[in-house]
Amino acid sequence: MTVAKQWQDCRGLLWNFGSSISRTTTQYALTGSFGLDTNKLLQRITAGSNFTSGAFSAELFMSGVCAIGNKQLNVNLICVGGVQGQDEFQSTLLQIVEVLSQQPGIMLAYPDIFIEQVLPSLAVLYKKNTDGDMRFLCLKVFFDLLVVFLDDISSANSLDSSELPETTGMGALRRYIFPSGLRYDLITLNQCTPFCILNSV
Amino acid sequence: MLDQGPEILRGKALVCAALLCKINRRWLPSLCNAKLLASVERLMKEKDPYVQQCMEALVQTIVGVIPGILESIATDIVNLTSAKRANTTGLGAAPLIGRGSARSSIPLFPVVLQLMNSPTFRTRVIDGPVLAHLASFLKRLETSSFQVSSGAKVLGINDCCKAMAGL
Repeated sequence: MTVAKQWQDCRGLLWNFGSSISRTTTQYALTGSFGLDTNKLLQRITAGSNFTSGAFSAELFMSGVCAIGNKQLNVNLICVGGVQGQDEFQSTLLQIVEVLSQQPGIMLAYPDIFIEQVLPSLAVLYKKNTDGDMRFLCLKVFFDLLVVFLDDISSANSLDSSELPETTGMGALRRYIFPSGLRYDLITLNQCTPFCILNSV
Repeated sequence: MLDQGPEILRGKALVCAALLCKINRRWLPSLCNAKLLASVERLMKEKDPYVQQCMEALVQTIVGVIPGILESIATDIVNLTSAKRANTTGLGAAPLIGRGSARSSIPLFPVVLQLMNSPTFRTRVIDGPVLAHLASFLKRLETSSFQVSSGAKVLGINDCCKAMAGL
């Protein structure tokens, strides 16, 4: 089979595939890599068939294409349901936490979850990520969350330590950061808390 | 219809949206993208009792669906992680691709973000279990790596033809 014939088959295949996708309203992506220049291939696909019109072009997008090399045609099919990898998932999750960080009432209602689980995880993700935007978002959310608890502590710092309720954010923060009952005045917290968590990673 | 129709049609449109979400949660992304949430925020000021009841039905339905979505996402992440681990160690076959994996719940996750951005839904959606799920996702991201689109499989032309015929 010649390359030209394979290309014809490929076009017909893609068109049939697109029709099927339109019928089933399932999102797919065709990926791979052509032995040819990718941009040229995309131009050929969009010019040579009707992919630019209808629901097909809206739902089907090509993140790579097909590979014709050495008269061998390979098509990588990736079913993505709206291509969403780990980075997108992580970004969405951090945005959700960012929204929550703007809601002090929610945070103070569930201090244990935020202090014992969310803050340490954010510190780990900050250290793990290599993407600058993601690291910035981790750090921003981390301090947005932390400042709510620090404010909560500072507003009640005049109370005697024996009067601090354990169910509040400051009680949870004290238990987590200072389990041995160290002095937890505002200066100490400002100096230590972020670094305690970040250095503990 | 939500913005301009008479009260009874507004209410029925809300109930229709609620029923669609209840029947199949995959309607949620479409409805949220179609500015349903913005309309809900506007209709919260509506004083008509019928519209208010329909609104409450919609909110309750969506709020009730969210924990199930988070549960499914947690399961999907575990499956993806274990599948990737199996691939890495050579213990399992390449993850199958096809219509089955399109049913993953992870693409529904942005809906949670959209609901969090809506004051009406945010206060109703947030509770202990939901926060615990979100914290567990963060914890999962610490240690594991998964790729939703990791199910790539190189197919020959004949395999593609068979796949197309099956659609």
